[in-house]
Amino acid sequence: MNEALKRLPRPAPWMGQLALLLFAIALPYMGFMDRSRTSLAVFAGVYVMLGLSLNIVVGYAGLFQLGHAAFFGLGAYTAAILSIEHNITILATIPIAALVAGGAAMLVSKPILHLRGDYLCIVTIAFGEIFRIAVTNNAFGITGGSNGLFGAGRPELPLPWLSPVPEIVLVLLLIGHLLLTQRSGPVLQWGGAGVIALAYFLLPPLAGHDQVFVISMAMGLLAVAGVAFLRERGLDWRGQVIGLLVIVILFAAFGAARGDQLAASIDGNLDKYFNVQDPVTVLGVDVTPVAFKRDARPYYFLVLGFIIVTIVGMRRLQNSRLGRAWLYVREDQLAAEAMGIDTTQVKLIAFALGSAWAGVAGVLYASRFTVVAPESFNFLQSVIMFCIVVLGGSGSIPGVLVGTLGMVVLPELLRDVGPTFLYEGAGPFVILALILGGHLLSARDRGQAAVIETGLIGAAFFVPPLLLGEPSLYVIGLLMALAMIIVLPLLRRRTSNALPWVAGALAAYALVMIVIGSQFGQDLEREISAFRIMDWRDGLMGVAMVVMMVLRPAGIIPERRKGIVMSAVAEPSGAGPAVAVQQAT
Amino acid sequence: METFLQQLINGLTIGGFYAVVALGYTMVYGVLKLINFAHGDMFMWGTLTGWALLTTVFASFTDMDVIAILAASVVVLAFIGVMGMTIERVAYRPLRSAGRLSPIISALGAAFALQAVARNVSDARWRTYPEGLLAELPNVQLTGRVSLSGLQVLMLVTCAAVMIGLYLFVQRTRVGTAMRAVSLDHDVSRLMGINVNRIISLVFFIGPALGGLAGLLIGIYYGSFNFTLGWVFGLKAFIAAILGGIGNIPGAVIGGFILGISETMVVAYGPDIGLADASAWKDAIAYVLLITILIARPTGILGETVAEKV
Repeated sequence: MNEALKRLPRPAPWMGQLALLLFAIALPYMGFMDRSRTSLAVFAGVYVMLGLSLNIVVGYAGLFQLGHAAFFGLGAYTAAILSIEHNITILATIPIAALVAGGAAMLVSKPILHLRGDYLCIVTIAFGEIFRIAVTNNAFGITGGSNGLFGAGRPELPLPWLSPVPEIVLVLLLIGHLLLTQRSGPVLQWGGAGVIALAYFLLPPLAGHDQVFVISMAMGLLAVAGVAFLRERGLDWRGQVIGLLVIVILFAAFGAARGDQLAASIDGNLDKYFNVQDPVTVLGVDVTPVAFKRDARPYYFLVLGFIIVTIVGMRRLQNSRLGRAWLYVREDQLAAEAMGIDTTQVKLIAFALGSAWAGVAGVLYASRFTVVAPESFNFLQSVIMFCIVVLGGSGSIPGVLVGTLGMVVLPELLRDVGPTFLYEGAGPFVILALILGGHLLSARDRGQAAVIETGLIGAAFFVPPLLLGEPSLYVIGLLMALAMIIVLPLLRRRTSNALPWVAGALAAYALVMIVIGSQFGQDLEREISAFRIMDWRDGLMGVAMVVMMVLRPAGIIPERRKGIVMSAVAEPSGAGPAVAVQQAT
Repeated sequence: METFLQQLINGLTIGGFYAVVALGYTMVYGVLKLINFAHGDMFMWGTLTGWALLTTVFASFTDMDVIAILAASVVVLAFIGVMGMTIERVAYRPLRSAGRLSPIISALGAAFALQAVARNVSDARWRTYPEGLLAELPNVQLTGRVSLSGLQVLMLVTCAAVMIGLYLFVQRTRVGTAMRAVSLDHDVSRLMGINVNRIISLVFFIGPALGGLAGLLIGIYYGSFNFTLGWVFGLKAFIAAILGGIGNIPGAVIGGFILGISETMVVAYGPDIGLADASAWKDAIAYVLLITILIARPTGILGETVAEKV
């Protein structure tokens, strides 16, 4: 089966990334995204930023950092204080917040970086706790005590279609394009630049509105992506010219067809999401600002923009000289030192960079939620950030996204889910699908046995309701399916032959199921409807953390290692560490 | 001077608790090089179990509270010990060869789970122990106004007995020798015929059991508790273990006493040295102490300077 899977054509990696990006852009317009869910998406976005920043410290450099919330908090408090006390527009505090958080990280980590891993871990916890106690006790009289600070400003941006902005954006796009196509020949490089500029200025005259420059920016970005796509195809010059022409025609057709509606919809949405403020000129240039309203959608795109920049930056960083030095320090500090890497320096940079970026996330947080209070930066938040990185797969960027889904989004969505979710409608089947998919994924190396086991788990789910004729017994089915997941590895370990353990599992299962089903069916339903899932959220999270780590110790999406890395790999049987050589992919 | 002595006695009592809980951390760290984040919550479970027993099953022994407390102690020791072994078996053993990040997450997960169950069992409220437990113990009058309450004497004696007993057990018995061997090197211990898994299970029985006992005693001493007790107290006890030099039993004891005494002293004398709301900053003392000592002596007070093995 695995062979057949391997022979299927694989989509290029950029296709997945593009799909993800399009999904992220479309997300706030989807039907199920009401106000609170969009707000949750912004919150999750801030945690993605935090996870990415912690990933530098934990994933790349391999340092233990369980006090990351303190640097997040430093950024948020800096932004709030500057914005409330000194009336600085909040996005302008980003560099200051980054400096404060990064500088504080350098100060506190310098004397402790040489400590062994676990000591470092506990010292970072200590620093996080000191920060929390200090702001709760209103240190220096500027943190507002345990109530925190209220009324941090909302973000302000210059109106994006007034004179300097579109030109600056165009220049940035062209610079990016020229850098991308350095080695692609003159047709793509200069022809492409012309196409991008054309795409950029095509719409506003066609539509007759300056507002459409906002769309122009998106079009310019798409044109850059289109040219990059042509570059990847390896076409000859004729193909390249045709490709560029296609891009121009597409944009022209789009502009002629949609220009007016776009301008109108931008005008309409401007009032909905932004306040246009009094005209401001700086050195004779009009930079009239728009300020965000309370609605979460603009924040969503602000945070999304930051996340994209962060991800691009992280990937460049990972492959840079510094990134390779981090990898080396993480894998073998003594050898790294012997190779002439200044390990203390390199670790210090990781710490400072990660913390500075957490400070930036803090500014975004303060600007969205406008209240900055100590309990948003306590130890639990540090643990959540740490889990985002490690559960997702330490060092892996997609891992951070998945980790945030699991640690931030899922627990919040549980709020909406009543206990009846466990036995009514599609609920049990959704959970079953998750269980089966997860099992198949984690057991896929065992080939046929994985399929048999998945089938067994599925059967375990369906037998109680079918046998006893009570639909509410899907709950018992779920419990039995979970029990099966625990029982199977135990049985597998006892014997190498498949048949006895299948028979044994079935027999034991049937017995337990009949006893439970006949004795507790009704009671269970009553118990479940009295069950308040929010009381158990942290506990469920804890159990999930243990289970996830036991099943996938390297995280859900482990980092793909570049080059040949010697590493200790866990044997599934627990026979002890074995040294394996992982080849580059 | 009299206040000082009185505060010293109070500090010693609290320090004794820190020391007993720190023993559990230090033993586990010794054999597994793992920060057992669930240890603090197992300590809290000791308090919780003790409360549940003394207010329900043993509530009828109110006139014979010594017997009730002894019986509760035995149950708590066994229950929390088995809890520790179970957690090791389920959450730590499968991850023994999986690097150092994964067990930390697993330990935090176990701590969350224990705390959530305790929260639901106690309805997230402050719970109080029965009043007047061991009230008839005589006070010990030292000088003038300095006195040890009978409860304090009992606590100090119990803590001392536990610490000395554990020290003798680890240093003098065959099993204790095996523990020390395992903490040096698992593979070589296995070659010497030691059942490493069994020793680790034993460590995970003794450490949490003693922590649970300390939990029961602290419940009696303070009179009330809630489910968050374990986290803060556990973290401080772990800091005590590091202060003394982790993996080192006398070190954990010294660290516990240093921490307990400095906390009490700062709260008592803070206003005199210009720290008006010293008690609000009480929890920060442990952390500041930790950072200071680690900068001065990176391996703790009694820790040996060893290079980290690669």
